[in-house]
Amino acid sequence: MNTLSISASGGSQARRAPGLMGWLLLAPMILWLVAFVVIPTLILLVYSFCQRGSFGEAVFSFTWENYGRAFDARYLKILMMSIWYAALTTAFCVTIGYPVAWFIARARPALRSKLLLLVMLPFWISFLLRTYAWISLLKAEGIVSAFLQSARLITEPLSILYTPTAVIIGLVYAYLPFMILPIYSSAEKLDESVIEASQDLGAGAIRTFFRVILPLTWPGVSAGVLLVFVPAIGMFAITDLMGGARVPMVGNVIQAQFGAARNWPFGAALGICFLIIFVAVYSVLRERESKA
Amino acid sequence: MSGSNGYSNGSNGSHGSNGFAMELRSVTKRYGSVTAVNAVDLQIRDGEFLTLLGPSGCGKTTILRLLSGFEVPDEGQVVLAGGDVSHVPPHKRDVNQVFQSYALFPHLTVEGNVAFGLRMRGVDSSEIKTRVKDALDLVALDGLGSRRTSELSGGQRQRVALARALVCRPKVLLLDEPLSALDAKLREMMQIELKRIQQRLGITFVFVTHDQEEALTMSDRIAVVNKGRIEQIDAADEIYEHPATAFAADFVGAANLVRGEVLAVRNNGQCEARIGEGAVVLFRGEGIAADCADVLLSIRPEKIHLSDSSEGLMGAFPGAIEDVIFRGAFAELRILLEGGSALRASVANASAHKRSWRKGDRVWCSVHHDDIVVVDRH
Repeated sequence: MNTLSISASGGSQARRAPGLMGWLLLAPMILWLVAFVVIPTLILLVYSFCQRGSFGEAVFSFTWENYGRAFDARYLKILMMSIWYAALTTAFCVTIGYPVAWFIARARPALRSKLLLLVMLPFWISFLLRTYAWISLLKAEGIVSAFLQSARLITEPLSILYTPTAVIIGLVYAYLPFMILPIYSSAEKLDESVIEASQDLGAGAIRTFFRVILPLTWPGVSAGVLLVFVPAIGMFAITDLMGGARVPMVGNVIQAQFGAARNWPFGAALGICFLIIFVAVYSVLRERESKA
Repeated sequence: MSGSNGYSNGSNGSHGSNGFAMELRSVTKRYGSVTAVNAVDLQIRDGEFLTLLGPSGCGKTTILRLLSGFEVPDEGQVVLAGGDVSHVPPHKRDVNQVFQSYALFPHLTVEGNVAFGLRMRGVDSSEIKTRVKDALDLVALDGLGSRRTSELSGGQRQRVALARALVCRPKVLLLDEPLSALDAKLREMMQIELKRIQQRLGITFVFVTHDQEEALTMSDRIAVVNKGRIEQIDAADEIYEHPATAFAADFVGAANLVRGEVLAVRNNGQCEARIGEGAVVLFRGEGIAADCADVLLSIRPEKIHLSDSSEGLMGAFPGAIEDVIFRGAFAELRILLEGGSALRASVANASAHKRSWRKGDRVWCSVHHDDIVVVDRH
């Protein structure tokens, strides 16, 4: 999904037709999208109406059975839990990411680029490696546990690995930069004098934040929410590794259908449902932005 | 619209602070090793239009920010309506500011912008409505309330910024070079309108600018600011006719600053000084000690009278016209005196009959003794 387009604000300039040159320049992207997004999605759609053969192969037919099963209480519960974990992750990312982004945006230019580099530094290391690092940090005999015990903050060894808490920590850690960067970019554009005007007109720090700063940085927040919430619902690697398969999320269920369970049609139906949720979240945020 | 729109808060003279709306009492503000404002005393009279005039970096904006509360003085006091507000934050001060960049809230409509200050003060919504409407009427923006600020022209934004500050009925309105972003024509119009609004509302205005014409047009009083100090504070014509310092003379209007060697100080207070070979001028030298050797004199170009003979002229001195620049209503002349120093003079282009001066002409210059001002002495 083209989530970043939401951060482009305004659009007050007159639109014009792309013209031949425009289409030529767009061609690589369009081809890429058609080949790797549109066609696969259509294949997925077709699969979602197929039946599973006795050897796990897809048998062509037209059935709503897979969708019916997707709304089975068991999967709905997993879906709800996934949305809940993703929402929690997003909430933590906003609460932690906003002040960080604000601080970076208001820092001296020389310091600013260094801080931004620090935000992006984790991307230089393999994602799996970083997740395994978290596992060794959080495990019962890990460093964090040892530290907390020696500081006498806890008496028992830490037992959060393979729990929802560990999954949330992993998700927040993985997605935090995707929240910080868009918020930073809108905070950086914010004119300092607007904040002063608000204070001058009688608003203290808190009201200035909620009445002026937050509305004006909302495009960044909503882009960040999209970049965190949507992928967090579908994430399966972190839940697998840090949740120890004890915290199933939608991503894991879908992955299982295409893998171990060998039920591609059902996996496809779940995938399509998932896609519909993404589109819904995206359009709600879009709507809020055009109103703001 | 009438004077009954409730802007004048009836506060004139009622502050119990000797008729001063605001005061700076020996205020100093430093940024690191730079002293932006140096022991400044400033008394802003109730209901006056005071302009802080000076070049960029002179400290005038810092003075304004000390008044608004965005800066806290390192030394001295900021006094508002008789009370010390040095450490009162901007949102609790009864002053409002019009920002140089206008600083309108882009996420709010024109009405939303103007109502902002009232909402923050908890004014009830029906009163907000009438006051916002009055304020928009006042700045001639009636009917544009529901526009977004991005749909407005520069001049209209400026008016919104003005309405947004005025609607709060501040004791003092601070304006930070608010006209500098407008084109010349619009700027002139806004100068007159600002002055009109200020007179009608009776609110004290403190206006910051580096444009001397703007200052001369609008102000009741001008404070000439230079290097973190106020060099002179007085009515516009007073500053023009009797500049206190060389800087004030040079910055407000054009001035010839000439060094003179004191020849005699008479008992009647008049003083004689040589400003060039064969050029001795007479001027009021009150306060000049008998042993004073050197003075710096300010002579306005239009105060120099030119004639082709010295007949009937007291204290005239000769020179040669080195250059003539035609300016339309007047001509600017550069006159070389004997001994090498030069003077700028301007001559009104009054009528076709009058002799016009040409390059190379020999002239006799004379200046009335009241028009020569001592700006420095050694």
